[in-house]
Formats: sequence, structure tokens, C-alpha cells
Amino acid sequence: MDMNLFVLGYLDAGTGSLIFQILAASLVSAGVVFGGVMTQLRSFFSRVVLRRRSEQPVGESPLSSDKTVTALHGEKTQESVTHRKAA
Amino acid sequence: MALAARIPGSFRDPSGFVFSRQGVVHRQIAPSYAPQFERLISSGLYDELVSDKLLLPHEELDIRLAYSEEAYKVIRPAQLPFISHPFEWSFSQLKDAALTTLRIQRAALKRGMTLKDASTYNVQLFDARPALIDTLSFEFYEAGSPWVAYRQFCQHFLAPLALMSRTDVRLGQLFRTYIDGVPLDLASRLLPFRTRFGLGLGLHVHAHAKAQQQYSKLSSSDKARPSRGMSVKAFQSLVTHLEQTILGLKAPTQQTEWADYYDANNNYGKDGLDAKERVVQSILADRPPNTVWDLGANDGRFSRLARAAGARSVVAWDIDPNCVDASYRRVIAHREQGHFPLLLDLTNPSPAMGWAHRERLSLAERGPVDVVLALGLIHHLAISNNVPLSQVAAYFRTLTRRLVIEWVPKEDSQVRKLLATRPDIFPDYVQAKFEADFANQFRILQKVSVEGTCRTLYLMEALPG
Repeated sequence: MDMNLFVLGYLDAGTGSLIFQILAASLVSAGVVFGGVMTQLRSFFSRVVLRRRSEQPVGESPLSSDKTVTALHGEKTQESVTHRKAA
Repeated sequence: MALAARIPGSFRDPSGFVFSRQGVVHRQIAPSYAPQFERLISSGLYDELVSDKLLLPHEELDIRLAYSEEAYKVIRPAQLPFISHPFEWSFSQLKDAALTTLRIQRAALKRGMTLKDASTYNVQLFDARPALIDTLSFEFYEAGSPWVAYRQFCQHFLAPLALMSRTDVRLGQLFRTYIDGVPLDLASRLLPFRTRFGLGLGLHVHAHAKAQQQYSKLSSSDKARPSRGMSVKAFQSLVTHLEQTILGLKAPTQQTEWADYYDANNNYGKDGLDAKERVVQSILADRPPNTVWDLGANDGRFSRLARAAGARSVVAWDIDPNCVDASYRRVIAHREQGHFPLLLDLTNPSPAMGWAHRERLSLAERGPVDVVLALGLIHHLAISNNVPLSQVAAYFRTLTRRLVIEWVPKEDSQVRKLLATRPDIFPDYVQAKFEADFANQFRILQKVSVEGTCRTLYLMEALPG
């Protein structure tokens, strides 16, 4: 795309600033995408933990359960995924 | 038809200009800007921004009221009681103005438009909120195009805010020298080294400054043109990232001698302060002013009194950035309309600036007002800054039609404090000389001793001519 098309107004936008801005925007967009993926992953694992907690027999402290502790530390992730898919 | 006069500072944007007719500000829109203006209205962007109080509302007038023949439309924007400059703003006001600009940019983008400029001078307090005052700041958004005002936004908002937050709040005064915002290479040098490692300032100030320098070194034939543009998603991400960066900048907290003046650090007891309030109240109630400047307003206690007395606009000037910031935050929190807390060093008042000294008006050019309050101020001018009483009187006369001024004698604890560390070279600092010097410029209408103190309040009226 020709840079001249970008010059919309009366301001001198500064060509260096325009070029830099495109790079900066790509970088922060990538950050946003990465952040979004991380948020989704975090929310997925939170759901797994919550589901496991809800499966605990009444009266048993969730933190005393081996299953929950392993889920909190992410060791049975694959198993959790399999369960989720099966559900 | 009444004569119209172009506002001298309105000449950069070919889309239109501002003029005044009988003291009422109008804006003339050029035919070349007609498509953009139509889109602003028809897209619903104007209504959205006005209802969110982000844009100054206007009404369309008869085209015969145009300043010149080559007009597409004439509009009358809501009238602002006072135009302030960014170097008169506190940190929080500049930050709010920045966030307002980004909010407007985000809304514009959703409706296929973009801001073509991002100047601090386009934002003013209206209805106790920062609002865009330039209706002609909108341009069509072209798919793939970057933000043409990105550099201006960084210079006008991000760099000064970063400097005020991370280096020293007084660096907001750089706006006095740099009318188009703080150059990024300068900001980059002045910011602490560690800010280079943060993604926000590291990217938009330091790396941006570096990129500008690198690019300026290239010869015109070597200058690369980007092969692709910027998606709308990337544009939105950039705006969000700027917003996050600005939200991350906190107001500097420096303890200053004035921050608790009315609470503890003064020579008034509660009774003295109440008595002073009663006197000022009765003076103002006698003939309610429309416009007031409170010089040395501190936290705005007496400015609020003036508002309560019916003043339509009160500017609360103070030298202390903390006081002004606290007062501003209170104005915003309580929606105190018509109250403008601003920074001012009265011994070096805001000058006329810009092209031919006509773009931005000086302090005196934005007056005169109906009433100036100069309470607990005279000793700071005459003793701390050696300004002769006659000159104080002469300057005050250029600012106001009526003056409420407090005489603070040498016996007062505040004056004693000022003279504790320096010789008393002020034999003329006596009440009789004060009255004589002020009588050359003003007619003394009232003189009241403030109960419980050794101070005296005067109401004066500027002499004609």
C-alpha cells in the first residue's frame, strides 16, 4: 500500500512514526492474541479444578484431596482433557 | 450583521476555522470537509459522543452567519467559559484528557472514522468532564491505514504523562516550550533508564523515538515504504495498548507545603477561617460575579464559595501541582460544573504562545474577569518574590474589574516565617503603602478586618481607563 494513501489530514504524521506504528501495532496485536490464548488456558484449567472440586464427597476438604492437588499442579492435564471430551 | 473576527489560533486545519461574533464562538466548515462532516452526523458518531459527553455539542446556524462566502456550514458549539492550556493542567487532568481522546478514537473506528489529530489543545473541561472541542477532528478511516495522529498523541499525551509520573511532575511545563508536544527523543532521554524495559513506555516512547531518529538519518531515496498497512484489529490493539500504558501511569505523590494548608499548616484557627469565609461570602453575595479567578486557590475552598455565590465559572489557580490535582479530582468526582482548578505561577504567568504570539492566549488576554480573589497571596508576591506593591496592583488591574484582596501584615505568622531566613528589606510593606498603591489602580469599596486574625479584606473596583 502506498504511504501517500495514509496521509489523511493536515498533520505531518512523520513517516518514521507511521512505519514504527505498524510494527508496534503488530507486536501488541500478537501480545493480545497471546494474552487471549493464555486467558483461555487459565480459564480451562480453572474449570477443570472447579469440576473436580464439585465431584468431591461432602465433608472432604478439597485441598486434602490428592486428585485436586494434582489438578492444581497440572499433572493430570491430559486426563482432564480426555474426561472433558468424553463428557 | 454584527462584525465577526477570526480567532487567531485557528488556522492550521483547512477543514474549517473558529470565529467570534459578538463574543459568541462559531465554527465555519469548509466545503472540502462536507463529506466527513456528513458522515460524522449520519453515522451516529456525533450523537454517541455527545450523549457520552465526549464531544462538545453544537447547533447548526443559518449559512448567512458565515464568516466568509466559501462556507459549507456554520455551527455554534456549546460555549466554553474558559480555555486552559495543557501546561496549566494537573497530572490527572492530562491523563483524563488522554483517555478521553483514546475513547473517542475507539468509538470513531467502530463507525468507520478516525481522529486526524490528537492535540491536548482540542480537549477542554466541559460539564466537569474532559471533552473534545474540535468537531472537525474526524476523518474517514481507510482500511489498512495507520493512525495519522499516533505521533501527535505520543508527544501531546503519553510522553508528558510519563515524564510527570516517572521523572518529575514539573516536567508538564515542557508544554510551554514545545507547543506541539514533547519531542520523543527528549522524553526518552529524560525518563529513567528502567522505563526502557516496560512494554508500554519502552515501545511508544523509547523505541518510537529511536525509530524516528533512524528514519530521519536515511536519505529520501533510501526511505523504505511499508509494503502493507495495518488491520483494523491491529489499530484497535494499538489504541488499547496506549490506553493500558496510560492507565499504568500513576500520579506522582510529593508532599508539598501547601497540600494541607487549610487543615493544619496555616495561622488561622477555625474561627478565623470561618470569619474570613463569612466576609468573602457577603462581599460576593452583594453583587454576584459571573466569572471569578481565585489566585492562590489552594484546595479551592474559596473558589467553591464563589461558585455557591452564583459565579458561572471559577478558575482556581495555584502553584502547587498536588493541590491542583486534588482539587481537580474532587471536581470530577462531584461533577462540580464551572470549576476549573489550574496550575499557575503568578510571578511567571502563562505567556502568549505560538505563531506570532497569537495561537494561545496569555493569562491576561483570557481576562478580564468580574472578580479576582487574592486571599493570602500578597505576601508571597511582595516578600517571597520582591514584586513591588505598585506593580502587583497594576497587574491585577489588567486581570479583573473587581478585586477581593487580603492584606497580610508583617505581624502575621506566615510573613514572620517568610522573613525568618532573610533580612527585612521591605520597609514599604505596610498597610498604608498597600492602600496608596492600590488606590492608584482601584477604588476601595470595602475594608473589613478578619476576626481572630491581624489580616484585612478589601473589596476594590478597577478604575476606568
